[in-house]
Amino acid sequence: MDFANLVDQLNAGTILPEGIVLTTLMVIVVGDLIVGRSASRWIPYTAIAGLLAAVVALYLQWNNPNPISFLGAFNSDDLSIVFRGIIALSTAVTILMSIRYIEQSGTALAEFIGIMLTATLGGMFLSGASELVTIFISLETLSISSYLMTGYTKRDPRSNEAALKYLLIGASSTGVFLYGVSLLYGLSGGETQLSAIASAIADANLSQSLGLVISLVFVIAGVAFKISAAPFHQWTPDVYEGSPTPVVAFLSVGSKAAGFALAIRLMNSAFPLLIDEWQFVFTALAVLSMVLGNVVALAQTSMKRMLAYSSIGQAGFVMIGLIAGTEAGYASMIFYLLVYLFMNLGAFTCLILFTLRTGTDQISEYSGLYQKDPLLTLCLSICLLSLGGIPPLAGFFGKIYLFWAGWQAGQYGLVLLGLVTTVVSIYYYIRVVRMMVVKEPQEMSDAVKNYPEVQWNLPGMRPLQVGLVLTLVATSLAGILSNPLFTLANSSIARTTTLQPIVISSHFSATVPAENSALQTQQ
Amino acid sequence: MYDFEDKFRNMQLQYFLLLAAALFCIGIYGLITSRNAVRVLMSIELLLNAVNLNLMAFSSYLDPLEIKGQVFTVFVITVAAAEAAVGLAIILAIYRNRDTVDMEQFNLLKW
Repeated sequence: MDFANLVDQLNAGTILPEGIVLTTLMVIVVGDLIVGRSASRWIPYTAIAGLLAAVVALYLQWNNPNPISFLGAFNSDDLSIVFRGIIALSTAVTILMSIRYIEQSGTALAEFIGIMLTATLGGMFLSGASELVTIFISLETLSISSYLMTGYTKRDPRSNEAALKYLLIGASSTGVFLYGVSLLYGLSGGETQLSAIASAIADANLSQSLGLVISLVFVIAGVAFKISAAPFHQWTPDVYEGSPTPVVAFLSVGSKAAGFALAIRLMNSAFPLLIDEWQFVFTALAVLSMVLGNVVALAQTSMKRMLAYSSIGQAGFVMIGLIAGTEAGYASMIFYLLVYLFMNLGAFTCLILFTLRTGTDQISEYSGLYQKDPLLTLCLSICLLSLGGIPPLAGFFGKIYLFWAGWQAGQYGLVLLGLVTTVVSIYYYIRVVRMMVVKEPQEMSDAVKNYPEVQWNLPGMRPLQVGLVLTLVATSLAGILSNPLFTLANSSIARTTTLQPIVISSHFSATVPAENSALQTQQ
Repeated sequence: MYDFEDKFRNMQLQYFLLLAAALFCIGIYGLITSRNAVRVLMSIELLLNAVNLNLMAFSSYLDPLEIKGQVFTVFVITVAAAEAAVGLAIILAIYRNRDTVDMEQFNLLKW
């Protein structure tokens, strides 16, 4: 009875989805231990079933009247539910595409899926964490499992090198983030809950202190590393190129979504008094990411590196919603991340399929692919065009909504820059598409000339095909039938109470300077 | 003994914070200049220990009843150990493949 009482007091039901993922993880680890190598036939499907069950559990918790649990350490509001859903779904799709890849690389599948589920668990907790220790632990659960996955093909020196770079840069960014967090703890007089920190700082009248600005900058450095915003992006291209492709797919969607969830919660709950300062810093990050990501992507010859720079640029676009700071801004971020989930994972599925069949990921090797493999060409084209924002695909509506929200919030310069860099990005996406559909046989690359016959009956190929078709359908339909996603994003923001006072305070800070200047003119 | 404790209590919070800041700067310096991967890992430990010092100081001066900072420190130490273990494992893997831990030699990935 005591235990039930405790569960009730802590409101532990809110972490049921994470509980399901954790149970699945346990089943996989123990099952692999008992059954041995032959377990790799059912393990991926168990993992996917667990993740889908977690998504269903999240759906049932929608609109939970009492979201605060674990004495305020975890907040299961609708905002966190959407982000946790995005992370769980991205892992499910990533597992579909990783089965064949991991088997072909000759490493153990069960361990890989175990580490990936741990990373998912970290990301899901991070989306709802509203207390400093919880944030730190879930962030590290996500990060350390990501380092392990990056170096998973341990006989490949490129994978080793990517893992080492990722670990060293990641661990030092965690150190910087933690230093900022420790200052925040001190400035608030010993509070670790985000909302308590904000009110303690407001009470102590410390909102203009240098220490708080330092802590803000350090915390943003940690978050910007996670969402790979320039100038904290240096690890991204190297890690994307060196690590196994399914890992890259997870890092570019799941890990990034968790970083954005952390950014929204941390900035709105802990730093509402410094709204001008953090909006300024994020504006600088967004400008740098959009320009650098999209311009450097033009010069890439490797498909993985191009997608790495493109994901830096995409992070810049999503930041427009964060800087807008309005309800529409946050809703557009969620909408874009939902769409981005499918189109980016679709692009990576195609990339994996091409690499598995030809053993290369150079962009020039894609030329003439249309004649050998129309399905792959179609899927990759749709996903890349959607990433570029061509109507009527999903990415177009995502970008329109982001730019509209930014424009409404008065971020004219940022939106114009976004439009210009989108045009640049369309160029390098279209370049790949144009290369694939060339007609003349003599322009065909060597890899495509030796293209093996398309076979779907090899072990692990069926799930890859399912993932391919799933992302293709989602990417093309999400544009035309975007209304349900739109409603989902809007209602999740509208029902999240922590974001409501922020909208007021941004109006407040906008009106105060005007009043001040009015006073000055009177004097 | 009593005298020492008394003196300790009278010390200002700033000294602890300055020490932590100095340790943090040394860590950053080591991070930038070290060529040996193990030394980089050690510099990261310095960063985390600076954070621990900060948390302990704040906890005993500002939050002596709930000592959340001390709890936080325990978590930071634990996670730092996990991170060091993973880091050393990766360094071992790369040493087996490349026979070196010199950061300047790791240049397979470049644009």
